[in-house]
Amino acid sequence: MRNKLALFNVIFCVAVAVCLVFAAGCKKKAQPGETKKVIGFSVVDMQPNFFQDMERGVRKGCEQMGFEYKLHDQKYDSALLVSGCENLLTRGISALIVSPCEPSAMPPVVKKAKNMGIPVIICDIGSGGSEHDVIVISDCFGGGEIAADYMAKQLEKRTNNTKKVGVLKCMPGHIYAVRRGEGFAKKIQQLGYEVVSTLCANDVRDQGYRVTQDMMTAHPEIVGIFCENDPMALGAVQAVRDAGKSPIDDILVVGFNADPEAIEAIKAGSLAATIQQAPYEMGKQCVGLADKLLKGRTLAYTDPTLREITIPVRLITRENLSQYFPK
Amino acid sequence: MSQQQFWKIWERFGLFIIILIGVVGLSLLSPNFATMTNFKNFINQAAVVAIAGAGMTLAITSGGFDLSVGSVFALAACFGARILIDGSVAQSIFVSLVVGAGIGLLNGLIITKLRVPTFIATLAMMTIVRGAALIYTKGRDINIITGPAREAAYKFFGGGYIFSLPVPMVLMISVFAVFYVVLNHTAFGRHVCAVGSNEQAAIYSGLNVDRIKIAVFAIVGLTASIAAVIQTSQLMGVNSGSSGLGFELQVIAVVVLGGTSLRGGKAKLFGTMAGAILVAIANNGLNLYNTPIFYQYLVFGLILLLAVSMDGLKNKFYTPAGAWAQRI
Amino acid sequence: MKQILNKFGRIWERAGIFIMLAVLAAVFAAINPDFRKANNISNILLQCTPIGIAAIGMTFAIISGAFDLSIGSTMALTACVTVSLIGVLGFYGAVAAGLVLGFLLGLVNGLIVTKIRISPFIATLGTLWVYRAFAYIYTQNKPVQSTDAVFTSWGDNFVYVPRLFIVMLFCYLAGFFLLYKTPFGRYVFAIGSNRRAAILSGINVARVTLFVFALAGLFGAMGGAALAVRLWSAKADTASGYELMIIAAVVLGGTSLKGGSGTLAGTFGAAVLFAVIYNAMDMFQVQSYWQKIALGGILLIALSLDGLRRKYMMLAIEPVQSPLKDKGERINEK
Repeated sequence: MRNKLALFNVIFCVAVAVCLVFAAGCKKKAQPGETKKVIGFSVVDMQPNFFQDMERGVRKGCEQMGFEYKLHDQKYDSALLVSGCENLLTRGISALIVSPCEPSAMPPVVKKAKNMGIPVIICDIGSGGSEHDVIVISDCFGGGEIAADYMAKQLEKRTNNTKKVGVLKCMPGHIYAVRRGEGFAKKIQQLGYEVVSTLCANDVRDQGYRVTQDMMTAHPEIVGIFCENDPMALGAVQAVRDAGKSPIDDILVVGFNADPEAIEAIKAGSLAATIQQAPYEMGKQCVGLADKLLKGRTLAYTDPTLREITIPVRLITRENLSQYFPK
Repeated sequence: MSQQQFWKIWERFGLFIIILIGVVGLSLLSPNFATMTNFKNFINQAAVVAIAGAGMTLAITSGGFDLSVGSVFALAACFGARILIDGSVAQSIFVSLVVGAGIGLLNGLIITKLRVPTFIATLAMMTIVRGAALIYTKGRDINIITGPAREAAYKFFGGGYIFSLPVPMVLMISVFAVFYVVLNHTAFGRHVCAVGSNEQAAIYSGLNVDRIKIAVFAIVGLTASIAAVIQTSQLMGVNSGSSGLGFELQVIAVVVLGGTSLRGGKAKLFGTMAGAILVAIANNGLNLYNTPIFYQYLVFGLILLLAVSMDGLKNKFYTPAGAWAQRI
Repeated sequence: MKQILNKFGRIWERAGIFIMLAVLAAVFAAINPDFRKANNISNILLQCTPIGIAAIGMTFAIISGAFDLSIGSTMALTACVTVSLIGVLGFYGAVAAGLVLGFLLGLVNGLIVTKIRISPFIATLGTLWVYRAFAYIYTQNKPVQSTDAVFTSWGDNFVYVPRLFIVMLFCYLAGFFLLYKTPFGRYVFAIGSNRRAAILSGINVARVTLFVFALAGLFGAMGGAALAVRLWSAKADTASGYELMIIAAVVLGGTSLKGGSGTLAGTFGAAVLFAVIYNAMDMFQVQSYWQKIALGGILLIALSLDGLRRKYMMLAIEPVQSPLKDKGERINEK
């Protein structure tokens, strides 16, 4: 009996210890009297490679420019986006960088920041019509168009070009991805091709694999597949190979993101191309912009009415791979 | 045919009838449906869910369920993929299975020894194991790039053929055969049903309920890891963050479709397999028809409701002879 | 010693969640001054509102022995409808429309359960997908936003206390009244603890169940409206996965999943506790992946404390040797 009660007490102490683990698990605590300014960064989700790169960029930028850095992970939940930003705002940050999982939820965040005099820099995705200070956005629509141009050019060389292609879409709620597919579809149709199949593969590799199999069954005459992100593209590549076809010569597969795995695949000759968005550079650039805003300097916008700075996207293929990824 | 006869036939063969209708319909509507390649595609997909479903059927029969199968799936896949890069196929599969069974064991211990309600225990394990998978892979994907012999051997599990039947299908049938034997012809199987139908009575009868539950959860974890091996071998890669997300609801839905009662005590094993096949066919058909994803959600929900409502209505209109009339 | 443990057990049973809340809040406040700021506290109160309000209906459902897995989708669908109608009906009209919709969605759930005799778990699993699909189809997958002044003002504070939190308190008061002061509430407990006995006692179980589901939908809609106010917008994939969190909050608060016993106060405490934990994890910059482990760990610890308490408190109270010491224990325990 005593032993069992002891167990009870032990567990209670463990509970308290968990609280202390929080203290241990934290990064640097803000010391009183420290004069470093703090940048708060709220990111969509630390799971996809894309946003991990963005976070690394922001962190590096903060290190280089002498800022302190606080991170928040929205885990793709718009309510957490709002509460996380609210929390950051009350923690004494000087500037807020946000990559919103849901741009339409930005207005309340920006309003709160404005009330506190904290500048808001939005990193990619969208502004949701809020009154941000600046948004650094890559041209996803344009990226889709670049992919379409590339695919058309490659397919022109073929003898049995049926001019039928398919698109693998991300989850319907993921706005930046939707733009990629829209850009591609519009341009490829202008170039005389037909998009015979548009299927959703939920951003993930295993769905990309299965959905591509179904796509090939329904439309065996497909010659190209555009995927709105690289994980789905890698799944598609695998499906094409399992069907005994080549993802370069038979069904051209193009991804988007330039994840490390995709670069490996391009090197190995299984993925044809991907579009690079440079999240790392975007992250760093946002910190630079935050610095400028805090010092009161004016910014050079690409589009002053939308307070946008557009970052061009890049096509990465086997040919130009070594140029951008020297390793 | 009288109403009684209709419901009797439905009770035994309902799900298979729906599948038959689906297969015939889709074959007529789409010329590409009734091909060997397409069959292999959807049966391989069904096998992944079905095998995990067999374990879940056992868990539900024993009166519990396991919300953590998705995360266990992911962790087993991550370990297996990472090890395959340098180790042998046998090592990789062994580790995956051990991870799955181990976490299942942990689930069982938490539920029986710490008396945490099953829902919370498995929900908590779901988040913990997912976090563990992310930490293990540092959030990055794992691409399996290994020697060609090893690759071919590992791919056998996800895409190979035995006697010209797809390997996942053969694995699925074997797993279900084993479960069938265990449930119907071993003492353990009978004990599981006993625990599920009336836990108190089982205790009074002298059964070691705790041990039975722990074994059941370990088996659930094991089947989840078998499913993970099959899928990883198909994809030759794994994404720790998103692998297996939502898998648990799919698996539970499939078991429920199959007719196993959530109250426990009765298992409809082959119903689970039929349910998995039905869902795979539905997904396949919807994809072949280029249906937008929102309508796919709608169809999935409606299939679930319709299939189960047939079951509910059956209970309303037809009571098997000898059962105590349940009129509510 | 036994008496102290007894007393402790009794206190824990009634107010365990609040003790945990107080302990954690005290520890966090002591370690980090940021936590103590008035801004932060009002943030926490604000952040717990959507889940806190929706959990009221879920508490009713679970006490009556049912489940509502579709609550997340209900929240999303009603939020989308509400925001889209603000321009047409004005803020209050739109909220009323959303509440009516939520009530109807819950009613549909109830009808499926009572008329077609499907188990609530399965029925709401099905409607989870169906309602989510409706949300996508209704919004055509585009977000709905509104900058209506009345709408956005509800996200503000009223003398430091967030307005939404005051709304939440009123909702809980209404819930208290329904659950503890009306015959309906007693019937809910009766159905949850022993369904057959309830039927045989003359309670119209079908009607009560129907109303319980409708109530779950209603509070879900209220939670959805709160969510919309937080976001100044709504989208079809809002509130994904909330159902599991809401159920976890209800169970953490002390309501048993078997039905028949439960506490609304506990649900309230659990909702606030979740908000506190999320807030603290951000504050301590706990790494994202470790956050998952921490959350799961807290749930496990909280409920194992509860489970063990039930197991060992009973030992403390009843020294009589019976063939069944406690549920699930064998006679010859080593």
